[in-house]
Amino acid sequence: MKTILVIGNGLAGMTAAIRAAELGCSVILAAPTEPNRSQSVMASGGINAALNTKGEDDSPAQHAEDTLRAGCGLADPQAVQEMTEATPQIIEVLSRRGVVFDRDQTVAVNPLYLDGTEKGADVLKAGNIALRNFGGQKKKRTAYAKSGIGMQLVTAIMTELRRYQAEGRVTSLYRRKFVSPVFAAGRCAGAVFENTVTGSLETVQADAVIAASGGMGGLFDRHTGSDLSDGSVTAALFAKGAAAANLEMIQYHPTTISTPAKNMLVSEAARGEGGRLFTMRDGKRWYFMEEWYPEGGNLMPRDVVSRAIHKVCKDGFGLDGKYQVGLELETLPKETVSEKLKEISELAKTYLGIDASHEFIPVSPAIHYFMGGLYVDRFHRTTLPGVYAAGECACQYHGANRLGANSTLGAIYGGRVAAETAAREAEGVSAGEFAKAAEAEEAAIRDRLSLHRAVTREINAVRRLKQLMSSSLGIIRDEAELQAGLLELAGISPRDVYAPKNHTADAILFEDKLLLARAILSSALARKESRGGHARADYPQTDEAFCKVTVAEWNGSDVQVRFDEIGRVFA
Amino acid sequence: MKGTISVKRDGKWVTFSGEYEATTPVTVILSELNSRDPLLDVKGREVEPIEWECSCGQKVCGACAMVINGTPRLACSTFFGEAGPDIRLEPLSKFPLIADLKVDRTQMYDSLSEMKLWLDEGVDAKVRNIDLQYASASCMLCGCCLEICPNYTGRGKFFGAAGMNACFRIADQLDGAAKRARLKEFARHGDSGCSKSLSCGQVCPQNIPLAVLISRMNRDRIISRFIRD
Repeated sequence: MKTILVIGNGLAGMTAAIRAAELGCSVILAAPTEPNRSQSVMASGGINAALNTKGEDDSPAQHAEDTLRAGCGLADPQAVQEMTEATPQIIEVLSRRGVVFDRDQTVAVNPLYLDGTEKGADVLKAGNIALRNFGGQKKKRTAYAKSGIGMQLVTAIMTELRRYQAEGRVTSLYRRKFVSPVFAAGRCAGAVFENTVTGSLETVQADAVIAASGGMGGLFDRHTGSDLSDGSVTAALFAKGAAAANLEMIQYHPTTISTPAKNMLVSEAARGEGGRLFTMRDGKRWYFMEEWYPEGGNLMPRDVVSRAIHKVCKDGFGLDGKYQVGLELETLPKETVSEKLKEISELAKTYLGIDASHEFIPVSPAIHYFMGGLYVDRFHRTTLPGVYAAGECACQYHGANRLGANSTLGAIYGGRVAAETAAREAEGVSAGEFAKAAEAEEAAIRDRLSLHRAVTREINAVRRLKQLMSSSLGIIRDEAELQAGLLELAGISPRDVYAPKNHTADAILFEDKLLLARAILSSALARKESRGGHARADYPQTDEAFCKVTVAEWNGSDVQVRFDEIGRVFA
Repeated sequence: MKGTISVKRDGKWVTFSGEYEATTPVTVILSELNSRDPLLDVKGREVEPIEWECSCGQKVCGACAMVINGTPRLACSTFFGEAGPDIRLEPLSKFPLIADLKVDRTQMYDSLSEMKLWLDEGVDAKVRNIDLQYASASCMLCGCCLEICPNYTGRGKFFGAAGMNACFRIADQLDGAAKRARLKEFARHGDSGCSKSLSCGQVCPQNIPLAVLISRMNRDRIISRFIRD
């Protein structure tokens, strides 16, 4: 039986684990903590699917077209097409696995007169899965669960996973921090983790490894995601030679609230349900999105809306002179705000003391999603033999800008594809060969650790890195800022960083994060044009010559950036 | 506003002083303390950084559940203005302690497995209780309900509100024998050990209507004794 090691237990990781187990593999699911703590639970708005139940003549082909258009030419058309075609069936499976989607009106069935097969006096037939509008899509295509889709998906998939765990087909290892892959006979044959309870290094042998470790929010200040999405798995794999793609494509979500702790997402669902963005001009509410984009209005793709808000604020029209505009929900029906947008209302109440059914919510753009990540082909192979990647840590489906509600879909579909490829191609080494390679890798980790001096605590080094990255990679970038970022980065001494006991590996992972940060800045510098999530003040035009994948690689001494044709398949 | 933060470490209090805004959540205070290098307690002694867990920082993931001034709560939605100026932080006591404020909540996940809380095969959506199913599935498995529960000890066969809540959605989505089996699990691991103090519902950060879910399952259990399909 083949053994698949999955790193990360969010939507992509759990889905990959289940699919690999279905295919007869033995699965080890290793993660820093339990699935409920994954960033996936934070997904809010929904999951896209061309179910075509609204009489709008929708289709997977149109879903693909919208995804590719939002991706500004950088998404792999074949991968996207395959995903959107699979989507209606994925939603059906999710529904049958118990995901509590909102439904169109339900139908009461009278068992005596209408349907003799039904039992019970109060049977209700479920209506179709409800669909709402979302940014960048003209048709109602986003299946939702109030404004908390992530939690509903995670709970249901975790329920499914529980069955496989009980049957011994999936083994979960919690409190394991990924430190390094282990290579034997030219392939990845497992990994080294730090056990964050004991502080010891542990190795896991596998015939294939799937990274499903989330985005890189932890490299940036005031992002909307989880602190656990620190980019360390991506960084560690990058440092071992895995290529990374489109790292400069960073999505600023247009509507987040600023709190003392962080910026928190106000889902696009708010605008999907009729919410309007405005600022004040001449004493009146100015609905700038509706004026500038009469057709798409408040539901233009996220990159467009974020840049519009940025422009409004830079031109001096920010509300109360601040970097913020208003999100008007108070004019919507009270029930829409309290029910369909329940989580958003509660967030505004808890963290801003605002009652969204009576007052507007002040919002501003913040880093939300990474379209780039580990370079994968449409089968989710990375450039390292035996390593696959899915979910936000992988660069797939979203091109230069992701459509809202395509992240949950990309994670689930991608996790499934990655598992299928990994199960097909898994090829292990003998226990003896692995033990030898693992021992060498552990020794290398200890050697690296021994070079570190206790000068700066890791939490403070990361804080400095975050500030540097956020100031260099704003909504609008330019060469001077990016060069300044690279210069400052070069000034950080990686070996002056130390981490507390039981987390000592964080110190060497910080070294890897510095490499990844350098790759992100170098990628942004190399793409001398503006496209999707990458806008350059010094190169404001889109240049067809750059309709390619930005590929960054660490060759052991330098980060190199090149541009690849879209849709490459790795052998 | 000046204040003190006391953290339970190995059964003893370690106290720090600081100055925070009323709107500062406990999560930000803990991060700020851990950024102090060296970290000194109020007596000027250098101590190790505080072990605690955080993920979403906004009341969705349940990672930062701890006992704050004697009540189980999430650190991310407890603010200095309400909990200060002198804040006491302890780990949840019903789970094995890892270190400081960090505990191992695996037993809660194991309980759900022991109750066989999964769907054996795909189900048709049932919408009679869709809002309650949604509420049930919003459980973060943070453990606050188990901490406050006078009956839950972490040992034995009573799995508390976390188990009963998860059981509701599964039982509600099933029919026939599979449903009855889950209702039995509810009786065995939930209702029979519950003294109905209902304190769980008072501390649930998601405001899950636990009393309603429990009464629905009791109703269904009684009905299932008389009506077979």
